[in-house]
Amino acid sequence: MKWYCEKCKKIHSDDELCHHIKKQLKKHPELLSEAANFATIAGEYALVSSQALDGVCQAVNKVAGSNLSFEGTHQYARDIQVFKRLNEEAFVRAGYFSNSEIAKEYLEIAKNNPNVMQSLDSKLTGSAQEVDWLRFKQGQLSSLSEKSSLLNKNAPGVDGETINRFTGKQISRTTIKASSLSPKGDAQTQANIESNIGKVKEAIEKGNATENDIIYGVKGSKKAAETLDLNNKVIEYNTPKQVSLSNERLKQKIANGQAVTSVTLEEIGKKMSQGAVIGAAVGLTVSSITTYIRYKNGELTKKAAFADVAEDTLNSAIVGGAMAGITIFLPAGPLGVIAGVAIGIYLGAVTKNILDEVFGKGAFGAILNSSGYVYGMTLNLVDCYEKINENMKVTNSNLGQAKNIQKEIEANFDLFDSMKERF
Amino acid sequence: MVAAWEVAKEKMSEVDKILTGLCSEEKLIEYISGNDFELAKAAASAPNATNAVLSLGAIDKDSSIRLIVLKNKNCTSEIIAKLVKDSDAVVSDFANKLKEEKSL
Repeated sequence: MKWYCEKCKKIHSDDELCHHIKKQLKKHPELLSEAANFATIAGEYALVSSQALDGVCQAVNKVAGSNLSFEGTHQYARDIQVFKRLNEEAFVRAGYFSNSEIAKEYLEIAKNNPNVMQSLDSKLTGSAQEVDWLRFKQGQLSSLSEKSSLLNKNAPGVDGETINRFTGKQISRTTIKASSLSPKGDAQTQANIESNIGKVKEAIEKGNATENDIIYGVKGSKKAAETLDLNNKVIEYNTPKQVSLSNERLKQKIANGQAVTSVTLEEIGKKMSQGAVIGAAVGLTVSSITTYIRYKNGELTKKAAFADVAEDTLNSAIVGGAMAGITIFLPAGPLGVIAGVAIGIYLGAVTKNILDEVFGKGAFGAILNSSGYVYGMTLNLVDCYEKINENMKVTNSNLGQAKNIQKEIEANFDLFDSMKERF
Repeated sequence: MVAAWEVAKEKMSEVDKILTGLCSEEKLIEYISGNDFELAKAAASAPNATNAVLSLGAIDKDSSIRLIVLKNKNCTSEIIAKLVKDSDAVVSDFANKLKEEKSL
């Protein structure tokens, strides 16, 4: 978009970065990743509105349905965050989620004891809802100016807080509650929700929470809050049925030894293949960066900036097979994921040259990387799935070999023990 | 007499309640897997610790909890057999000693 610059007293073209904006960008490199986030969200909006992704989603479903079960990037990343949360909060001392093997042993114990299973269910329910809240907050456009984080259990009555990124001032506090389906039926499920929301009332009475705190609960929480005469704002997310399904999926992952707490490099190359399924790449153009910084400077409204950047990203968007071999940046978290298909950011030659000029050669990559962007080369969708299949076969064969070696080692130990006894 | 016992129970600390076998299995599970180390240690040595409670203690990342599990009179031969292969030498040695003593 061409625009008239008051400071330079001239019209800047699409591919030209104003000298003053260059200086501002150099002084505040974080503006680059903020602009990238803004462009990603605007790009998603444009891609969804234009239905440009429909073909990609169909292709994913077609290949996934025939070859392997497809798990969306969004869900995959969410589940990892849940296991990470369990490891860092609920079981930080006992370490039941410090690795996938221990988690599997823990599940085995739970399967044989209903009290342990009940405890595990409750931890899965709570941690998953906390992670869902965090992802819900991080996926909002307001996350550009707000930062949300989960608090540890030393903060009674409140689970998360949202602050202004620029001033550090607290905007809101949230108490997170979740309930799964009760086997005793809907009435009992609602009674459980009420009992859960009742804990907020208790926290308010004890002075650990206030009526200004937001309640983030499952469907039925609003009704429960009304019954309990609570005036807090209630956001409903997930139904008890969805919570139960999530718990079952998480338990299945634990049973399969997939309760990992981080995405390892090996997984990116082998199992974490879903992350490589990139539905589209939107361009981070000079014009988009300019528009974002002008919005930050108060020269444009958020709405106008969003519309301009959305148009820009749609014009530069590359979808499907045309993406093969493009170097892109994938945003972290729920940003850049639509219906399980990842949306990346790529930089054209002109943008790269200008950013090299501002930050030094290639430094823009380090800036985006430090903001959580994952740098990578896209693959053609079908090539990617074939690669996944190959890697899965290799992984399975490696596992088989490892098991055989383990058996041999154990046999050698037994032999050693019997020799020790003899001599 | 009963009333006096109830008053005494109320005055007892949670650790004392655990160590005198007054906590339910549900509570012991909560304590052994929880983040309070003192309560976890007490749960591992509770006289009424069940197999589930001790099995949880046997996979605890803290070797001192695993050792306390072995010292609990309710520790089963399965748990002893598992801890014979423990990565911590003190735990595995103690498990081996128990294995020999009990001729497992």
